[in-house]
Amino acid sequence: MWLDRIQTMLPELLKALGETAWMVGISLAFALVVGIPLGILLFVTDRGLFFQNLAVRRVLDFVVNIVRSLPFIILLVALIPLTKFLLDNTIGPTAASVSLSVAAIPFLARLVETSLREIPPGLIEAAEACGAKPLRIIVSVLLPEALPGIIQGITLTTISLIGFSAMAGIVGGGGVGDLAIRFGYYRYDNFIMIVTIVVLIVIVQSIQALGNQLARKTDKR
Amino acid sequence: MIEFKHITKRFVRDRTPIFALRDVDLTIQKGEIFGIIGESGAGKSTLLRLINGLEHPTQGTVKVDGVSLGGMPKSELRQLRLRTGMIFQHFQLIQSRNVADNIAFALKAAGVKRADFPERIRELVSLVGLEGFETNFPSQLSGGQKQRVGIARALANDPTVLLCDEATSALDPVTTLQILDLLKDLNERLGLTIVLITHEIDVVKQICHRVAVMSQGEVVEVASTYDLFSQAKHPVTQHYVDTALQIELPERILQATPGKIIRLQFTGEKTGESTLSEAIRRYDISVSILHGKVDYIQDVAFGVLIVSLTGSSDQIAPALDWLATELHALEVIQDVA
Repeated sequence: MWLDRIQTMLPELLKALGETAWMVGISLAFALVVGIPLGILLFVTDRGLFFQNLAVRRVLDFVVNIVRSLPFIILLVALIPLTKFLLDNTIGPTAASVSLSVAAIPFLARLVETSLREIPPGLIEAAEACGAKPLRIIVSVLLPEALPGIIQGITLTTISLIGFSAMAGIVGGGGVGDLAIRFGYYRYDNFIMIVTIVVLIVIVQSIQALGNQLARKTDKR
Repeated sequence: MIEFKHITKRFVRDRTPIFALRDVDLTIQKGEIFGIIGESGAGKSTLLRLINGLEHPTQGTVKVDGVSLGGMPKSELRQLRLRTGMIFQHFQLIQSRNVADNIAFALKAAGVKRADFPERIRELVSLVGLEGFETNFPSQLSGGQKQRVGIARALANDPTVLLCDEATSALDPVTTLQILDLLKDLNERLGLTIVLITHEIDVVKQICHRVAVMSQGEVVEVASTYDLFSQAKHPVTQHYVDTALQIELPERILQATPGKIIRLQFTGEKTGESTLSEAIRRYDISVSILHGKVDYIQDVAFGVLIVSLTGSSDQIAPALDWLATELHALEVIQDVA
C-alpha cells in the first residue's frame, strides 16, 4: 500500500530533490569561490596580521553582519530586485539561488575566519620569520592548518543551505522543503510529510558524516 | 654584527604607556653565542624580535651587518629574514605538514628550485639528527625532535644568525642539554652567530660566551659568562648567580654539627680544596666538608663549599681571616661554640 504511494509520489520527489540539489549546488559554489577568500580577508586584515587594514576589515565585518542578521525568508524577498536585475526573472530554483548565495557567502566566510583564528599567532609569526611572502603564508600555512575547520564550515553551510532552500517555495523555487509544505501541510498529506522528512534526515546525516570523516582525515593535530 | 643603539620601545595599553625597552645599547659580535637573560616582561623577547624586524623600535636604530633596519622596504626585510633563522619555545611547526614539508616551507619562502628540495632536506635532516623521521607529522614527535625540526627549518637558507626564543624552556633537562649541545656544535661548525633569550641561568652557563642581563626593559649588565658568575655586579645578576649555585644544608645536619660552619665560594685556578688544605697546614685546624658544588664555566672551575671548622678559637679566627683574603667569598652560616 505505502509502496504504491511512494511510487506515485516518486516523480514529484525526484524533481524536488533535483531542484534542491541545483539551488544548494549553485549557492555552495558561490560560497566556496567568494566566501572562503572573504573569510581569509576578514582574518588577515585584522590587527597584528600581515595585511592589517582596519578600514577594510571594519567594512567587510559590517557587511557580513548585516546579511547574517537578516532571517533568510526576509532576505529572499528583499533580494527580488537584485534577482530581477541579474537574471531578468524572479521565479524558479535558479532565481532562488541568488538569495541563497548571498546568504551562504557571509555564513561560510565567518566560519572560515573562525577556523583561521584557531591557528596559534606564534605559528604565523614563525612563518613571517622564515621570510615568507603573505600569499605563501596563506597557501602553505593558514589554509592547511585551518583545513579541518574549513571542511566543517563547508558541511555546516551545506546543511544550512538545505534548510534555507525549503523557503524557496515562496519564489517558486521548488525543492524538497517546498514539496513537504505544499503536500504535507496545505493538503494534510501526512504520508508525503513523513517521506520528505525521512529523505531530508538521511541527506543531512550523510553530509554531516562525510564532512566529519574528511575533517578527521585532514586533522593531524 | 648586530648593533642596538639607544633603543626604546613603547607600547600603549589601556591608554597607559608601557616601556618594553628603555635606552638599550648593545653590540653582539659575529660568531658568538650571546645570551639575554631576564624574567618574563623584562623585554628580552621584544629585543630579540628587533633583529629580524618582527618588532620595530619606537626610538633608536638596529643594525645588522652595518645595515639599519629602520625604514627597510618589505622585500629587503624578507631577504634579511632568510639570512636570519629563528626558533621558538613552542616550536611553531605546521601541524598539518610532515617534517620534510615543514623544512620545505622555508625553502619555498626563499624561492629555492623544487628540484633541489630533496637534496637540501636530506642535508638538513641529517644536520639536526632526524634521519628517518622525514614523513612523521609534528604530533608524532617528542619535544626535542620538534625543536630539531624547528632548527632545520631555521637553517634551511644558510643563515648567518640564529635567534632562539626560549628554545629549551619547554623541554626536559636531558633534552635541553641535547639541544644546547646541538646549538653549540652549529656555532662551532658553521660559525653561526646565536642570540638566545632565556630565563634559565643554566642555559647561559652551558653555552653562552657573553650575556646581557635585562630587568624592566633595561640592560643592567653585559659581561662574559665567566665574569658574570665570578663578579656579578647588579642585584638582578647576583640573584641569578645565586640560584645557579644554590646549595642548602638540611637543617638537621646544621644543628647536629658543632663548630663554625662557613660557606665559601671560589673561582679560577685556586680551587676550594687546595686553599682549605693550606689553611689546615698553616693554622692547625680541622675541616670537614658538609656540602659542595663545583661548576665549570667555559672550562674554568667555579664553586661553592659548605664546611665546618673546628679547633681552638685563637686558631680559627686568623684562619678565617686568611681564607677570606684567599677565596672569592666567605660567609659564616653558623657559629656554635
